[in-house]
This record gives sequence, C-alpha cells and structure tokens, in this order.
Amino acid sequence: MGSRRTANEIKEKALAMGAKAAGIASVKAINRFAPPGHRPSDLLKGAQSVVVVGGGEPTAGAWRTGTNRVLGSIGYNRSQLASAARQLAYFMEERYGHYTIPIPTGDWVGHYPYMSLKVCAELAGLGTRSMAAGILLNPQYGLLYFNGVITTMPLPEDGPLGKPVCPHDSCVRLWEKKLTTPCLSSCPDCLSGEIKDGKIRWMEYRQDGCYPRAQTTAMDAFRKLLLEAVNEPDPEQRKAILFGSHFTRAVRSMAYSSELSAQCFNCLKRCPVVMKRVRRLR
Amino acid sequence: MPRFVSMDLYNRYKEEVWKLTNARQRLEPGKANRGLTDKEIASRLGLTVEEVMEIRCIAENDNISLEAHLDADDTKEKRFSRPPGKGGAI
Repeated sequence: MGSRRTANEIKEKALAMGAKAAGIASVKAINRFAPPGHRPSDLLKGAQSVVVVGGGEPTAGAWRTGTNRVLGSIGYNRSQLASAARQLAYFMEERYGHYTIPIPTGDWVGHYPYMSLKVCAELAGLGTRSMAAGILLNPQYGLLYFNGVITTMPLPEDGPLGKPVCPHDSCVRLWEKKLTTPCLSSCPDCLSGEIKDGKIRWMEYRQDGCYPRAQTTAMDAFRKLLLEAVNEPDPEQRKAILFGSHFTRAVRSMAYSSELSAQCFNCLKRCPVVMKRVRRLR
Repeated sequence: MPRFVSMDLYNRYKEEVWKLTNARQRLEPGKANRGLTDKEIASRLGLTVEEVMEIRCIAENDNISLEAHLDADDTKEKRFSRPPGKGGAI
C-alpha cells in the first residue's frame, strides 16, 4: 500500500496538472456500487485505486452571462481534465512503476458510460449527490466535472464526505415553506424529489427529459436531423433541414467539440452551493 | 461486431428494455437504486447482450423526439431568466 505521503504527492501533482480538486477511491469500494462490466478492473487488469480529478467547472463569471446559450458554450470544456488525467497517468507509471490508464470518458455505447465517474468521485470524497439530477456538489467549488486515472497501485482512499453538501440550509427553509427547491423549480420535467428532516429523502432524475436540453446540438440531434433529411422526399425541404441553423450547430458541435455537453445548467444556476462561490467576486 | 437488430425484435422489447435502463434515475440515500447493465437486462429478458445494446441504443434516440431538441433552446432561455413558478408558466 502506498503511503499517505505518496497519495498526497499524487494529488498535489494532479492539482499542478490542472485539476481543481483530487481524491482517491479504492476499487474495492467502487465495486460495491459499480456493476460488473463497468468496474475499474474491467478496464485495467489488477486495478486497485482510482485517482479522481475534478475541475473544468464554469468560471464565476460564466454564471452571470446574459443568456443560457452563452453559458452553455463556455460552461464546460472536456479537454482540460482529460489532459490532466493523461499527464497524471504518465507521471504515476514513471514515478511509481504501476500500470495506470486515464479513465475512458466517452460513452461506452449509447448513453451508457464505461464506468460511473460520479461513483468514483463520490467515493474519493469530492462531493455528494444533490437534488439536481444527483449531480455531485463539492463543498468548496460547487459544480465540478470529473476525470481520473485507474491504477494497479494500492493507495489509501479518501472515502466519501461525512456530511452531505445538498440540501443547503436555504433550500431546506424553502422546502419547508413551498415544497420546492431552486433546482426542482427550475426544471420540473427532469427533476422531482423530497426533503425530509433537512436531508434528501428521495430524488428522481429523468434523463430523457434532460438529454435534449443538456445535449441540444450533440450527436443525438445530429442523427435525428440526418434521419429527418434522409426521409424527406422534397429536395428543397431537405435542403432546409441540412442547411438550417440546428443542423449547422450540430455539425459544428461535433467538428469542434463545442456545445456538446452540459449545455443547460438551469438546475444549478440558482443553487446556493454553486452561487456562494460566484458571490465572492466583484 | 454488433449486427443490426430487426425492427420486429426492437418493437417487441423496446419498452421493457427502456424501463430497465438508467433513463430514470432514483436516489434514495441508503438504498441501492440503479439501472441495469446490458448484460443484466439480457439475462432478465432472455436476449443476447448485443441485442439489448442495439435495442437500448435505438430506444435512447427513439424515445426523445427531434422536437424536444429543436425546442430546447427556447425552453432553456426562458428558464434561464425566470424559472417556472416565478410567474409565466413554461
């Protein structure tokens, strides 16, 4: 087992490579939740630990943009954390001599991931599940995106946070008065839930309601528009579909990897955990 | 290499497969709730993993309309400036 000092060295390196936060989860702990086929050891033989890096969140200013479209365009970039994870994998192999891979973060097939980064990040102490679609909220940064590396190196785990970040006290008070929270009221088609005794009693997230908003111009939109065009018998109408604004954005999204993910943000725009960070600036 | 599934097979199983996926995610602290993997669904419905994978993948697109994508910007912008319940139903 690597020492706590080694674990800290790895986490400090991750921060130096561009992560805002880093934590370690043991594969044993992850396997208690992750199903076979979607476990770290399915991706790397003999995997013992996962080092999770968090970051890539919207800047404080991004939350104050005038339109959802702008926030959606600049709120997230998938390259920064992937780069940090890859650099960290090289570093760990060279320095400690253990096999290490960046977690494949694309989809496995369709909407299923290779493995749940959310489970890994939760067990690495980087956040707890929220009423907002179960998105992890970090006590310091609010919203974080995640990436990481899987390694055969046994490392001391951080373990999950002791205290849930969500619900915020102000959300509990709002629930007691109006039976809603800022996130639930922002998107009643995607989200539902209940707070009891100041804690999340249950939360439900409908991915099919969220998907077209979070991925408005991404791959699924591209394929649907393509099918619409292929099935359209009128050449002029076909042109209207393929040269039209939505298809143009979808093609651009894929070509430049822009506007692809998490373009909605509305459920977190009024989240007090996220907004407390925004309020610190002038 | 996955093969295309027949639309007969797809239509017969799409609802059952969809219900077992993680399309609807429920969090209840202390309880284990998760959608099933393709392998688990296959075992439950007596299909092959490849068949389930194909059916799920098609259903994920089929069950979300093109209109939902086309209307999303409008809904998002309205909710961005004023969430539902704060005057003006959306």
